[in-house]
Amino acid sequence: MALEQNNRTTFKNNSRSLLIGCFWLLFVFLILFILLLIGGLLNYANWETVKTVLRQKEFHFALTFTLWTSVLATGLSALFALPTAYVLSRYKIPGKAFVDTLLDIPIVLPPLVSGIALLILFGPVLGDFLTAMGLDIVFSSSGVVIAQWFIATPYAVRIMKQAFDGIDPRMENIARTLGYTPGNVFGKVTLPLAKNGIINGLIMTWTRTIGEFGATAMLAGITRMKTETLSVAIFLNMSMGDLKFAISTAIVMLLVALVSLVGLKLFLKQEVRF
Amino acid sequence: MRSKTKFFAMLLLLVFVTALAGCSANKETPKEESAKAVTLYAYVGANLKDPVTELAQKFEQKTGVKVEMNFNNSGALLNQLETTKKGDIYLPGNMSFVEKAKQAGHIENVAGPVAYFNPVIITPKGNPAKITKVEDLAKDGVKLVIPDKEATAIGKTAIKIFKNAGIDAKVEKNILAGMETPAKVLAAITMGQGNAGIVDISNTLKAMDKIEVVEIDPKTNIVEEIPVATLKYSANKDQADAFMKFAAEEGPAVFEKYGFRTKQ
Repeated sequence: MALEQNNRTTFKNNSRSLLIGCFWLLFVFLILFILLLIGGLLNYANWETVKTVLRQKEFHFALTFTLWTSVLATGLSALFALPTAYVLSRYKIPGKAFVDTLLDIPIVLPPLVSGIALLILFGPVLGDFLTAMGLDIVFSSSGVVIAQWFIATPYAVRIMKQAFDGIDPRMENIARTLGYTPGNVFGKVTLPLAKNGIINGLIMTWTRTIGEFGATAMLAGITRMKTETLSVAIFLNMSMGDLKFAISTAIVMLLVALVSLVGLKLFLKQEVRF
Repeated sequence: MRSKTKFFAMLLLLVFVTALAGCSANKETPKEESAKAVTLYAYVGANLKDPVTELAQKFEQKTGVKVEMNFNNSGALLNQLETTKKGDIYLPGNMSFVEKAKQAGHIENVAGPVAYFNPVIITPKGNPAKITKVEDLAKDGVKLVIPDKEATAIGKTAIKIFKNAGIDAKVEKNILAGMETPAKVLAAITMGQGNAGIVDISNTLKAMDKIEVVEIDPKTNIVEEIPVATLKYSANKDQADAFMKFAAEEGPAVFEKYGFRTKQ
């Protein structure tokens, strides 16, 4: 009897370790695949061209332009995503499934279509009104921020909603009974508990804004030294047939993104578990 | 815990304020410039970026009028100008898109040609499929990469050329893939996909170390004009017309430098 039990546990343990072994195998496979992909790109790079790219004024513009537009778009995303995610997670809304799906539209639509939709909205529909207010969105740097914001915000909403969903509402209720106002509860209970998810959401949003080019190219146009982000510059070089140049720019962009993301994650390591 | 949260809030705020400052600082510069002089807005086919950029610089030196250029595929550009009803110049890189824009009532004047599209056959170095003329593309074992036959002007032209040579049915079987642009055909061939491709002669200039060029017999080949057009929506029609005339006169010399064919 005891022996049988023992046998069963070892069998269980064995099958479990086999499963975990498979997990490791697939994990290593995926990491290797991505490393191989980057390796191939690096292998195809021409280091002379990379150096030329690094020295170019146009590249310097595109790099700083990409950084400030993407950070601003991420900030704006956070501004809208945090309340949206909270409302979706905590309140009953009529037609919630529909509202929830509406928020997926920027993810579902090809960015090119999002771009033309934004162009219609800010051109013929709202254009005259905005111009009268002194705001030019179409073919301008604000257009870049708007396009990035539109494409990336749903990702922020998704991840932040998950973070809010994961918090036991009882905690909030108890805080209320102990005398906190709803605002207090949000600031001192909900927000700290959801912090990991919110920061992860922001990082995800930022990476998405950096890579965005379809909607940006449509709404803001691709104008040298004005609306040219790194992604858009790569797209342009690609369609011009300047493959060397496109790959070199891509490699520099990849390195910048890798270094800043790893740096950010290490910096936040004590705060957040990824 | 609380101090950490505060620290985060501060960090976020700092990032936000810096970004906003960057935004407003960046916005002020173009406004100052536009107050000084007229700026033209041009929709330019991405494959014409280098020569048209040079033309625009020359035009600015001569007249002081700045030409801001938006580069993209001809079709995307047409969508943009159709939607926004803004801009001064349309230089899409082929006649068919100008015709389309004209029918839709967007075009004021057309001039040029500034250059011509001249399709050529490219093969990987060493020409493994032994292609010496367009008829060879119908041979068994040829893996042909062409620009998309619906979406690109040069792809449409390629099909017409195959018809001229009487090989369109046979070539159809050999088409490995259709690409978005001739530039991507070039990229595919240089990366070892397919053993023959159709591109414009100007595409080959940057990759002569990796490919071989086979000219198409002028009797079967079709050469197309690259026009320059002004738009009905222009708020600066005189300057737009001046740029169009400038491009038509100075264009051929500049385009020739970038490997385009400039004579009929």
